[in-house]
Amino acid sequence: MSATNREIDDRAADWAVRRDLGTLSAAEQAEFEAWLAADVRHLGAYGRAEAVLARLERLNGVAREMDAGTAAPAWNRRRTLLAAGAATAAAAGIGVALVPRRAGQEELFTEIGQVREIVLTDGSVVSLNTNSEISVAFTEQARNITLLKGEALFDVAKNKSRPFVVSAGGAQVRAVGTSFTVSHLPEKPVQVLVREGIVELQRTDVPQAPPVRATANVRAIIPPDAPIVTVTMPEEKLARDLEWQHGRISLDDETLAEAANEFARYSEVRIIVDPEVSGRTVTGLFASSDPVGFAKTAAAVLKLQTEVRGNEVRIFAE
Amino acid sequence: MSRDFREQGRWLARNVLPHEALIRAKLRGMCLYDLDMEDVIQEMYARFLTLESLDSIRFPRQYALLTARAIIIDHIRHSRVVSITSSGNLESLEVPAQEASGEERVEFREEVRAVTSALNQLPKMCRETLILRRVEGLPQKEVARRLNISEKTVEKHMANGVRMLIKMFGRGGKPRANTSTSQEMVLSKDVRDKP
Repeated sequence: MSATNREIDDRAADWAVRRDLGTLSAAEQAEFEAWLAADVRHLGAYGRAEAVLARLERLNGVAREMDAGTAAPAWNRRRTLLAAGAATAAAAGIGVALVPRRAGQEELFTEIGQVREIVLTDGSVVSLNTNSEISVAFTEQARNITLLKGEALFDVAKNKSRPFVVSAGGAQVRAVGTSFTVSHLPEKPVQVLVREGIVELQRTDVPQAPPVRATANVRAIIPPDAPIVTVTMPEEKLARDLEWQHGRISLDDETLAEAANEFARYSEVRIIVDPEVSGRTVTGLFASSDPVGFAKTAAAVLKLQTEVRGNEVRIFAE
Repeated sequence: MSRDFREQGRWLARNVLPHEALIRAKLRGMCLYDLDMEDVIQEMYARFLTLESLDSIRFPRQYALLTARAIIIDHIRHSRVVSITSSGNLESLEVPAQEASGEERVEFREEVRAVTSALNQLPKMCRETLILRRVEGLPQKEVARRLNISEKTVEKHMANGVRMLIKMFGRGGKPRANTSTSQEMVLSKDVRDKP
């Protein structure tokens, strides 16, 4: 609770008690009226404080058992258990898998809508996003991983004598001990997002190009026939871009059309956006497993309509 | 006094306050980026107070949830950029009609248990002043005399007690919060109040 809301609640409690006891002077009464009118939250908080006082009246006529010899009431001492688990966001399909310790090559993948966290034999952790596939080849000298498709976050266990190298498309990402994602999505250039530490980016399709270093909070884009582009981004934005680990999609002022594409990575259900409204933008964090919920929420906010039919949800103007 | 909210307070005590924890749980599923849940709760209560009549509301809990939802949508619209953090979605704020009709009324015994259990968690003097004044209906003077404290102190203990109860009831003054939201939502117009 922010201090302000709490202060308002506290103030409301004082006013309600003084109203109840009738101890407000004329001047204080005017002050109270002014306070009530100043902010809609004041009015609401006061209403609730009145409700709290009124709720106690519900015990009128309820026998108060007295402990023998004392004035203390022997109310039932059972503590109220909070059933607040209701809102727990159980991101579907997240699990932890331990890869058996064995040398050689290994293929790891996720289905559409699945997110998997895998502990590799060196202690590094790979989180595979939806519809992704990697191949792991560890030797005594090197830890080589190929991202065949999709997106993966690598939390690399430090080992200077055994570099950790991820290959994707025409790019190679080399790290010692760090945390970064590599994505290789259809019709998009390979992208690398560095969460911690430093990685070194090398083109494999243009071996003579000098390597590029990327540090924490940097996004590197590696287009097939152009130089590597690096962009520094705020930490908060980076955290949002990694929300997929928790089964969520982060949209930052993205069009409904782009959002529909993003959701398509995670589910068989397709969001169809009418061309008329496909340029409207949305910002927020949404459950990746719930494209219909997203469509309805976005529509409610943008004053649009939705229609669910079979494996499709359509967004259109009224 | 130009405005007196005692009657509305009674209505809210019966119909909304016992459900506040549930309402919060549902809002929490949305965790809004730029919107404080406390603001939404306070504004929700305010909207009840500005209604001309509360009598026409047949399903207050459902009405409260729909009101909270409307407030959120208003806030989002005003901020122009649509900014929602939703692990569920706005739809999840709706309550199935069957649930609305069946469980709207808080059982009296359950209500007594919720209120006594909250009172029991208060410091002794806060509890005593509130019981003597609000349950037994004694005048402030008499409360002061019985507890052997000044009238001003009665006021102070009561105010502290109410402050704590506001928080406790908000967290869940009700022993079992209903969490069945997975039910199919069939909302026909005739069982639904519109905020």
